[in-house]
Amino acid sequence: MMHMECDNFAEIACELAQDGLMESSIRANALEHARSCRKCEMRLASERALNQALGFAAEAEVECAPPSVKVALERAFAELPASAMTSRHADEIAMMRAARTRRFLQAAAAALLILFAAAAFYVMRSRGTGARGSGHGSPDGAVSGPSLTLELRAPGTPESPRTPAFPPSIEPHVLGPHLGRRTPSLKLRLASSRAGAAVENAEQSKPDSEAITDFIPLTYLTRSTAIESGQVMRVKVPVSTFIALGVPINNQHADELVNAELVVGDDGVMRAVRLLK
Amino acid sequence: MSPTEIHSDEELLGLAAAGELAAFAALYERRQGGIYRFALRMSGSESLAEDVTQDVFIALIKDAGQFDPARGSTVASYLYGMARNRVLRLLERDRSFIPMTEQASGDDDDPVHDRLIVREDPLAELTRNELVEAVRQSILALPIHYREVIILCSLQEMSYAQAAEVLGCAVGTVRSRLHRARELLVRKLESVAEPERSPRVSACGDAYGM
Repeated sequence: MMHMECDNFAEIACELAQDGLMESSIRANALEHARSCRKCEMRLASERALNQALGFAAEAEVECAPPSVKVALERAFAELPASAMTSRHADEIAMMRAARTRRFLQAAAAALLILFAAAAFYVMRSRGTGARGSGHGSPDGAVSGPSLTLELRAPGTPESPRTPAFPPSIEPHVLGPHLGRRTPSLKLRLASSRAGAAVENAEQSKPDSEAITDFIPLTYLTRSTAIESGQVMRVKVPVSTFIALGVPINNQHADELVNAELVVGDDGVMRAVRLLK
Repeated sequence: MSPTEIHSDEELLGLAAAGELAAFAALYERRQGGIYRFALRMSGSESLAEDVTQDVFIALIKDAGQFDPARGSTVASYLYGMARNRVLRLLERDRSFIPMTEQASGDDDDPVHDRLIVREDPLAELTRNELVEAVRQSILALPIHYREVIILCSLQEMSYAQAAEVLGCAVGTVRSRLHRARELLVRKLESVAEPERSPRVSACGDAYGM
């Protein structure tokens, strides 16, 4: 059995007095040391006395808060229902409700937008039909109301301009001196890809005295490419371009350059072309 | 079957946060005694303990969402932590008690202590009720950081880990503080048991080398 010093005994005196878990050999050494050391024996006795005193005190711990506290708390609980709902769970519920409301509002806004767009579409279409009808009835086939509406119709195909595709053969080097001259605020609208296109012009772009043909719509256009505004550009293009569009021109002049006006939308896509003198 | 029997503290708190008065009442009945006694032993004042208990549960009503079980704490330690903060704040404000300072044991090497008469058990002369009262008064005279650890571990019978959670310190800190608190408590108890010998260091104090 190893000899235990007083310092070592002091380290385990508390656990020894409480009969805490320790190795049996250590316990035996400690008890043996306490029997041989008056000071450590006294220490062990005082630790045990303290444990007993604390045990008595713990057993006597029976006090409770007075009933008035409970009454006050229950009253406070009843008066603070909103505050009581500040738990994490309540926060989650509130967030879910807010998200649900937000989704409902978004759906309602989307439905309203769709309805508005559909109404606008039908209004525009009905106006376009009216414009086309009046355009057909006009002698020059161009005017609809106070704003200028140009009926773009390929020669020889008054109802269904199934002309060949317009070859994008306009090279920069063939552009004439009028390149880039833009007529401001030309507003045009393609009335119908099947019955021809109507161009609504806020201003008169050019005097018709120069024009040999009406504006010829380019056949790759669809309703989706209808434009609200654009510019007219004067360029030089090969005669073959007009031959390809069905304009009756002598093939012998196919390689020559002629003046023409292009209707170009704000998106840069050409919509129509007409031959000038 | 009452809510106290079928629900944990955390479940009761959740139900109380959802507005169930019965759940709150059950949680209060389960925890109010410990909170009240902790505040009472820490302060020695019934009115202060009453106020602290009420404040703690009012705070629980208002800020139930601040308790986060994911951090590993329990409702009990959360309540004790709130009670401790309030008690310390009130004690700091009142300063109505004069603790027994650690400097009182600074004469450890005084050779006169070795000549003191050693008594076998100075507490044996006290009756049980007197002993309990002497323990309470002695605990009240301890410095606060020793007082709270001996109340939690010895009177409330918490484990070192539970006490560490309430106090927000390491388990080793609790262990060392408790060891020191017991030494101080023995000295104080002996001075209570033998008031005529109080100027002297008693046998137990001598045994501790004090």
